Amino acid sequence: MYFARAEPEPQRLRKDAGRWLKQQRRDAGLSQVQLATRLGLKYYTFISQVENGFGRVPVSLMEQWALALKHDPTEFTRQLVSFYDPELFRLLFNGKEKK
Amino acid sequence: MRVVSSARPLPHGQHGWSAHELEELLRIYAAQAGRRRVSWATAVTERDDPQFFLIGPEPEADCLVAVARVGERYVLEDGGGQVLCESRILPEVVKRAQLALAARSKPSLMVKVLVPFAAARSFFDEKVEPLIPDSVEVFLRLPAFV
Repeated sequence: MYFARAEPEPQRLRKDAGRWLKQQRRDAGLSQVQLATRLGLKYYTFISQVENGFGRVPVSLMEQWALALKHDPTEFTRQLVSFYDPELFRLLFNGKEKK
Repeated sequence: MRVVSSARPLPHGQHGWSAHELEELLRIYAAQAGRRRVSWATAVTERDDPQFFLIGPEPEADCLVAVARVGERYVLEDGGGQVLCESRILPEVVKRAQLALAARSKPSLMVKVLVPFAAARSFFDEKVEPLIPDSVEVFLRLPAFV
């Protein structure tokens, strides 16, 4: 019998975060290049890295990223923490989220 | 700042990488595979620029380095989006990636110095200090007050 190998939880959540970020960017009407410009990045490839679920939004960029997507930085960060570190999220917010 | 991007059409191969390019990129993977449980993946950007990712051990599986072809240039980034190298010559980028990964896996000089010092200090505090009579201890600490 064949069982598909399940993706480890952190990887799956990071991919979920990437999908969420991609949707927020599209909702804001921005391309990856435009978002990279607003974040002051030389190349837009890092946006793709994060949206494909291979990287995380660095803490140093969270506020700028949120503002570029017209989000409240606190809510944006809270949402990302729920993906990137669910245990920390549970401890900080007692599981109260609006995913 | 102007973001460098390209609208080059997608060539044949895995997510736009040619077999030759992929072979070159896999040298990054091969250099690490013997030392730690890494994997690799490819993807494309919104503009179909190909990307290659070297991924660290599970369960975190963080991106260790990423190489993208943007226009005529190859760009090497770390997992935090910092550009480590950009060049038109892929083997150069591969070499730079290998160096970055080697540096990452080696403990820094500061760690090499501090760890033995901390171990010696801990050994002294736990094992030696309790054996020293108070008078000697005062004598030993005297220079600190002078």
